[in-house]
Amino acid sequence: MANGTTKAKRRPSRRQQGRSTVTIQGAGWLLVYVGLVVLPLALLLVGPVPPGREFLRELSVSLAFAGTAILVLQFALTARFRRIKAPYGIDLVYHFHREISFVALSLLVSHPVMLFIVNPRLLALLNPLTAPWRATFGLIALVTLLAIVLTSVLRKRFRIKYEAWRHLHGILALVAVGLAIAHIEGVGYYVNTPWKRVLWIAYPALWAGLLLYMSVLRPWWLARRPWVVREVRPERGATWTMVLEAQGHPGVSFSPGQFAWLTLDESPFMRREHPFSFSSSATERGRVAFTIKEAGDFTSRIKDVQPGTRVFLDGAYGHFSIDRHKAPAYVFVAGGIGITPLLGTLRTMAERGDQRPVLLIDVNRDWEEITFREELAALEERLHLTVVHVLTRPSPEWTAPSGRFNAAMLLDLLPDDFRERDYFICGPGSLMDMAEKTLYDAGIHFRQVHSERFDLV
Amino acid sequence: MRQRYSTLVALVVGLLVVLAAVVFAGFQSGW
Repeated sequence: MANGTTKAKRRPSRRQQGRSTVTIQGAGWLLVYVGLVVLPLALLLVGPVPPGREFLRELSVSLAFAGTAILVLQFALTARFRRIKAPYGIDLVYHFHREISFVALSLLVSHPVMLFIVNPRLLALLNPLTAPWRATFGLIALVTLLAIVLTSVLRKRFRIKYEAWRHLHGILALVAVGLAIAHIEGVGYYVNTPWKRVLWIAYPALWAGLLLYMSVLRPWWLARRPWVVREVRPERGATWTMVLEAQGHPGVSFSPGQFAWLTLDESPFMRREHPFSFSSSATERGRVAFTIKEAGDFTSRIKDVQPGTRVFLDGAYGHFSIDRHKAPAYVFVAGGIGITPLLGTLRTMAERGDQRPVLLIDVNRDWEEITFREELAALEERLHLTVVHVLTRPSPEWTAPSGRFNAAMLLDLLPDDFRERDYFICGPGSLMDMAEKTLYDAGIHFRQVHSERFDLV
Repeated sequence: MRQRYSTLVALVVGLLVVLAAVVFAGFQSGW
């Protein structure tokens, strides 16, 4: 703590200033978000306001309006706006999208429940045969929302393919919001003037329009900037490197560690994209590489991709970059294919002549499976880089660290200046959880620890 | 940790929104 106090008295370093700018930006967007949720609710109290009713009934209605506003803004959160995502990282925005949907669901479920408490006779509205259409619209909207949440949380258990889920998610979202708005307009109690009526149609339409942007305008833009596969080569550990070249445009500018969404041999309008980290150096824009491990339906097809195949690339995204998190030295922790963005980072450092110290802890099953093993050894010569291989199932002659990679092993490997370093962790979820927790427990500030996750649904 | 942070933010946003809804309902029911 004494150390912390001394630091606080010093003029903030450039690095700390950069961080606080990011924090302010982050807090700023959050305020904008809350404002966008609350504003359409507040506007209902402007102009002629209908007479008030009992508190619980009014609360039920206001919670539903707020819940609908959150629902409507869900379209904005997934529209891949780089500027908005920049302070957080795209994975965190998707995570927020997921978490806030539980909040919206709770608010919207509480709406009929509270009404039933106020007046149990309203339970009759649950019968679509006798209820007025406006009530049935509300009911179906709620059921649809429940279906959206269930199919997302339990996608893998229901064995819904990612692409199918994604289409389903967009369609159900439009249905849920459309019916919720029909319910609001049908009841009409608070949308009692023409402008309030228009507001509660135009506001959702504006945000749902983002889905249109993502499914029509953005693909159109991508279609005009095609890439072509130059080479697909095998790497160690059932992994393939796919090299792409820009066709008739200068390429993509990206930071090391970032990723892009790839559409292979299909129109970008199909929106069957998959996120992959760049494994090539960020110093080359027109020729880029992605290294992909055979894991799912899509990734196991990579090895069969022929040179000359057209690819569309939407990027670059992500905050998992040393350009974004500047530090005097780094520790990289990679598990298996998690090496990809970190190798891209090391290649970039080599091209730039960046001699900041890096410790790379690379966890793999066995010696033969270590992707980029030879290149990492070569990079050790060119950079101020130390590579430590940890093998979870080594052959008997292996004498270096082995066994399940755990907290004690990680702490043991950390360099003396570990408090000053920034940490980049990429690998299986369990490895990232363990490494993050271990580092926080060791007193590393969470802003020094960077990871990126994509197993949200 | 970062994910827990986003869960916390979602909770805080949820609370702020509920607060706004309570104020709305309070205002309307003549508190």
